[in-house]
Amino acid sequence: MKTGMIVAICLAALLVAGGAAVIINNQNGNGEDTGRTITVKDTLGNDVTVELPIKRIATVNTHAAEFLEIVGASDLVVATDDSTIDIFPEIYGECVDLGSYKTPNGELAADAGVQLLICQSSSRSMSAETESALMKNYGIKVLRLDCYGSNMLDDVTELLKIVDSSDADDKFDAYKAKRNGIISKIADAASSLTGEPGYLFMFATRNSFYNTSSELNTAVSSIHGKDALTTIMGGNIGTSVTCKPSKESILDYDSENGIDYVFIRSIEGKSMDEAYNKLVKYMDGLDLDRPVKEGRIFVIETDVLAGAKDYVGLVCIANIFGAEIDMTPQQLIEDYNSSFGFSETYDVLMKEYAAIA
Amino acid sequence: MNDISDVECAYGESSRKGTVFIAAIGVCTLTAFLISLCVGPVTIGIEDVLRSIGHSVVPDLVGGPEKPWYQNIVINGRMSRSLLCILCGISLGISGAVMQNILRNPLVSPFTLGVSSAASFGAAMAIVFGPALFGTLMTGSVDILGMEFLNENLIIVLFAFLSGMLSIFIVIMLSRRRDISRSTIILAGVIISYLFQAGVSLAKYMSTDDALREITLWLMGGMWNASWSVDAILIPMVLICFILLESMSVRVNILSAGDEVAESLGVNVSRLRTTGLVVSTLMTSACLAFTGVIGFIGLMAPHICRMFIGNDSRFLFPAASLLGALILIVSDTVARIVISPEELPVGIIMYIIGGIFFIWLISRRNKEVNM
Amino acid sequence: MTLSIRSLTQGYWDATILDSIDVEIERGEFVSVLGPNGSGKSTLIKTVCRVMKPRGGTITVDGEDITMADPKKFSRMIGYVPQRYITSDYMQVFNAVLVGRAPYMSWSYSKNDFAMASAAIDAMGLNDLMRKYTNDLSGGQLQKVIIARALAQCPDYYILDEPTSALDLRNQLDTLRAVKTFMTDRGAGALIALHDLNLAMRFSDKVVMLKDGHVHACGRPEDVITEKNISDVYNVSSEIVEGRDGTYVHICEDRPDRSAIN
Repeated sequence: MKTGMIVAICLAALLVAGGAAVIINNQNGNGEDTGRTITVKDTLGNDVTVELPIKRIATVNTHAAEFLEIVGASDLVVATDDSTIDIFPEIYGECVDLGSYKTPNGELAADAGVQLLICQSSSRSMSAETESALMKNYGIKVLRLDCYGSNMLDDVTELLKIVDSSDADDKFDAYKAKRNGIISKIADAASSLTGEPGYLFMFATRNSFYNTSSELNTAVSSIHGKDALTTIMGGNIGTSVTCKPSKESILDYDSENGIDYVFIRSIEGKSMDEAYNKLVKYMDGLDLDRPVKEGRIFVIETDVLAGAKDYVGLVCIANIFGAEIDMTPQQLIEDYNSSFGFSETYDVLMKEYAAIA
Repeated sequence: MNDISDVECAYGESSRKGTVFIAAIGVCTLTAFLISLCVGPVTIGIEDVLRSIGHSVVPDLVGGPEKPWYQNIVINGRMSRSLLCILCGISLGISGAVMQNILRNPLVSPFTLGVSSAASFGAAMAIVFGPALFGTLMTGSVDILGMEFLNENLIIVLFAFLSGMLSIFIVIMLSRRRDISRSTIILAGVIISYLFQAGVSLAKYMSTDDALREITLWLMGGMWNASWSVDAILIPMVLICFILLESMSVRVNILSAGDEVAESLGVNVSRLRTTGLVVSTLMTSACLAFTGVIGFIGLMAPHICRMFIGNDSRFLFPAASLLGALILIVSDTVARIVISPEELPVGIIMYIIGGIFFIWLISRRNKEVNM
Repeated sequence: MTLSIRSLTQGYWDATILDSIDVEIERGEFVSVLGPNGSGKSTLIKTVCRVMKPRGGTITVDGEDITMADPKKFSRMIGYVPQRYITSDYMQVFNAVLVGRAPYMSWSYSKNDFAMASAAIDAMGLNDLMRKYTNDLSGGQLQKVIIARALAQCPDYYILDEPTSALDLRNQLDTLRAVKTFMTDRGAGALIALHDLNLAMRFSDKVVMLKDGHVHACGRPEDVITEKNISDVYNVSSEIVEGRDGTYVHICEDRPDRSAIN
């Protein structure tokens, strides 16, 4: 009798295991019609195969979210991270909140029927483990598209492949035209500027300065001026996009050659003063009236220095250098909002600091 | 029958050894100090360094350096920083020696008792919640007695310092339950350390990116906050605490005979222990608040000195202080020039150099440390 | 000058270890405390040395209550040698002995301090070991150093807790002889807990025998160390023998009664 019981239990266990396998398999497929397969290139240059049509996506990348609205595809987004909901409540307020962008909740995403999740490219923003967990446990494919920085337009182009709508393509073309138009106006206005002022560009969040490997620094120097950091670093800027020269060397360069401008990128969620304070703190200890003897110090809003509105930041910088175009930065923001259906306004886009507060 | 002078002789020998050692380390420290003024990302020749010093002391007699901002760099940048190294090194060195001798445990350092974790916690709280609590007060600076202090720095320093003192207060309160025994104190300190570390982890988890970076930097420890205003706060504190601790050195020597015997020899053991711990924690907290966590010196400087001059606290305390100062100045100077013009955190250099040196020292001795 | 212990009661938690003990030690008197384990010898020693506060009774020197005395003053009156002691690494013998001069020095040692330390080292025969480190010493040598420290202290009363436990036969005799000479030369008294009855017989001026926290007997050695007392207190049979050099206690092993086994 004992043997009989054991055999029966084993059979039951096998049945349960088999049934579970079948169920899990079915879950992964979502039981959807499989249409075409396309290959998309992510920001890191990897090829990612995606099965169209994509009806429900999640994004934990606020820049991507912004572009999706610009191209009129924000309806595809059913779930997003908490900061995107914070920044665009009217557009994404109804979406499922997945929590932090670093660790989005897979269960909720699966529950919302998410097929694809868009995140940033760096592993610091979403680890490889989180990515594979989303794939294995919930069958959610992860696509790493920054949608800002040097790859911005390419990334959005890839994104449009997934959106797969000619209407979206048109809207993106309109955005590109607008952006290119502004940029060429800047180039025109800046061509009449003379001299070669030296500047530093501080990344207040990381307490360091952008070097010539960085997009932002290159963008500035293409308008006007010469990057002073390379000389301060003795030509050795290292491998990352920022450097942290000692305050001694900055003082030495400033006293010898004079730094004409310091641009400071504001800290997300913090005031302009706090960003300026980082510079003050950086040069603290040396008996100085202000961090840079004669140069003009400006804090610029971080939102307009990267992402869809990056051309506004370039206009700010051009204005600082003395080149004006037919629209002020604030007007550009208004235009942007009315064109694409956004409502975020800024009290101040750039602030000059004349003397230590 | 042996000569009276035989014991006196032996004693004189060891006293002389102690004095010579202290003098030697003192000279090395002074040399390191002067070298640190000449070395840095900006190359400043020795004449300009001397001129800068001379000009700031007697401006009428000595003309300034060729490029006037060199004076700013040498005096305000480098000298105040090296002075901070000396002050911290002294504090950590003597605190380590005091704690090890008072608790008769070679593994104790200012950090075993939770001071550094507590101070880290305080700093983390200030960094993460400061802007919310103090708002615009975090930016800007304040003038105290003619010296300028950045508000943000002051707030972080205050929180770190108070936390550090809180930790030792908790340790002493806990251990007062059954009269302060050494193992109770050490155990309490270790537990407090874990508690505060958990707090720091929580703060790191909940903080924004820039706050996280600041906390991480603070935890790595470094002299980047150095300025004359910081030195002005620390100099009197370190001086007073040093004198207090050195005056306790004779009684700490007696403690080596055991708690019970020391009591019978006229030492109030629990008062000595409490005072020693409180004063050294005061010193260490004050320094940590400005520099972040700097390990190694509190543990190692006393050990290295003991190998040369024995455990007479009267000599060990000043020796460990000076050795601590020397280690820190050398490490900081190296940290400033190795990837110039960027800087490495001083801890990295110190652990590498100091660790290798200590391993070499240990391998020459075969004794087990027993206190 | 008399060290008077009157009606001393002492205990741990619920247990009473000492019950109304009376002992008197005169200047120059070598007083032994004998008794089996748990009789309260160590407790008595520790209480006199202020390691524990007495639960009842008084300990006075010339009428002055020493449990309340100022620490510095106390340290000149009482010199304590504990049963268990620790060594400090990196400490040389002469320094360890000099520690005993603590009651008399504030920052540095005077000529007199060196003289006393010298005498103590000499008395204990540690001259050759003077510069050695204490943790390089054997157990016996270390015990002698601890005693030397107490000698250097020159208190009015030496309180020693089994000072010969780690010493060999030769050293036991030498040490106690040295202690006795040292104290009688300086007119100090001593209260010494011993476990060896012969040593007590040989060196004591007075013997106190404790049993279960009471003074079972007190008086001259030959009066207290008797076969009856030994049997009452230690529960062993003995034979007091007159030998070449003095009176000895000879412990007889009680053979178990063969009839009890079967």
